[in-house]
Amino acid sequence: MKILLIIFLISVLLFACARNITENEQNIPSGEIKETVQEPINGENVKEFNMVIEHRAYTPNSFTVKKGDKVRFLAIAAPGTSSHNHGITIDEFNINVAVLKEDVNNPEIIEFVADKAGTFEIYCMPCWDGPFGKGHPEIKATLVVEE
Amino acid sequence: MKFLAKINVYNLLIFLLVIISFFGIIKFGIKETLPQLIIAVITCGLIDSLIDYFEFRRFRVSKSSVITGFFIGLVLSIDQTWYVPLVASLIAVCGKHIGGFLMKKLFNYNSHIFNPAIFGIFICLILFNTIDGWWGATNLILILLLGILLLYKFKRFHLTLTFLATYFILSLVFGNNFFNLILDSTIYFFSIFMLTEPKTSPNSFRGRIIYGLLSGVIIALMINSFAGLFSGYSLILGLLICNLCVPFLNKLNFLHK
Repeated sequence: MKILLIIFLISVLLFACARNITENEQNIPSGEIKETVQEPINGENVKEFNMVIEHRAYTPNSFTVKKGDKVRFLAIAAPGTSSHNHGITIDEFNINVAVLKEDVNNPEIIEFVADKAGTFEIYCMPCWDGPFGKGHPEIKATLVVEE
Repeated sequence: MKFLAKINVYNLLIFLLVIISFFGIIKFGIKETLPQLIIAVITCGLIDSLIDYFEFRRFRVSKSSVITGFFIGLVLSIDQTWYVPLVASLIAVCGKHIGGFLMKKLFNYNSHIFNPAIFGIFICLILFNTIDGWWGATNLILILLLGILLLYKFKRFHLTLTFLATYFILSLVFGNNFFNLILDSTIYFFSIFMLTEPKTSPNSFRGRIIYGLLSGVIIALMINSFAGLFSGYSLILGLLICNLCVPFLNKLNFLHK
C-alpha cells in the first residue's frame, strides 16, 4: 500500500512537471519549441528556433539543421533571470552573445550559417561574466548539423 | 567556536540566511529582491503562527517557518510578481501541516515529507510558469564559508559530502567539465542548506549516507539524461523525489545500528 502511494506520488510529480514542460513548449515565455523552416533566401534555408535560457537549462536543448542552413535563434532569458547574464556560445561558429531580453515579443536574434557538419556544444560563456561569476552552473545544449 | 556551541541551530541558520540575503540584495538590487523576500518570510511566519494559534491557543513565531520563507525568497528567480512568493509560502506552510497530519494519521509517521520551501516553489513553477533563480547562491566563497559553519553545527558533513561526491563523479561520467562542476555555487547552496533539513532527511547516520548517495544519483541523472527534459527542474524535483524515500530509510532498522 505504502509503495503504491509512493509510486503514485512520484507519478503525480513527474506528470505535473512533464505537463508544465509541455505547456512551456506551446507557450513562449517559458520555452516554446518552435522550429520554422523558411523559404530559401539567396539559396539558403533559414531554420528558426525559439529558445529560453533558464538558470540550469536551455529549453529546448537540442537543435538539428542541415549543412548550409542559416540558423536563427530567437532567444530570451527566463523571467527574472536576465540579470544572470545568460547567453549563447558556440565556439565553432564564433557565436558568443549575451541574452538580456526577457520579452518574448522582442527576443535576442542570433544568426549564423551552419557551414560545418557535426555535433556542436552550445554553452553559456556570458553566464560566467554575470553576478554568479564562475559559480554559475554550466548550461548546455546541442546543435547537430547534418550533411 | 564558543559562539557556535551556544547558538541555537535555527538562530544560526536565520543569521546565515540574513547574511546571504544581504549579499544577494547588493548584487541584484533592493527593488528586485527585497519585496519577494519580505513577502515570503512574513507570510510563512504569519500563517504558521495562525495555524499554531488555532491548534494550541498560543502565539509564537516558528523559526522554521521563517527559514522556509527565506528559502522561498532566495530560490525563486528575482523580480517576482507579489503573489508568487505569497502563494509559494502559503502552499509551503499549509502543505507542511497537512502533510504532517496525513503522515501521522495514515502511517503513524511523525513528520511531513517534503521540504516545505521546495514544495511551495515547485507548485508555483507549475501554477505560474515561473522559474527558480537561486539568487541566494550567487557568492560561492560566502556559501562555502557559511556552509561549513552550518554543517559543523548541524553535524551533517557526511550527508553533504556524500551527495557532492556522488553528484560530481556521475556528472564527470556524463562528460561535464570538472572545474565548472566544482565551481557551481547553486549545488553547494542546495546541498548544504536545503538537503540537510533535519525533518525531511533521515534521522540515522547510515540513512543519511544512503540519502546523500541516492540524491546525488537522482539529481545527476535528471540534469544529464532524459534528453534534458528535467534539467531546469532537477534540484527542485530531485529533492522532492528524494524526500519521498526518507520515511523508508527511517524505517530500516539496520541503518540505526
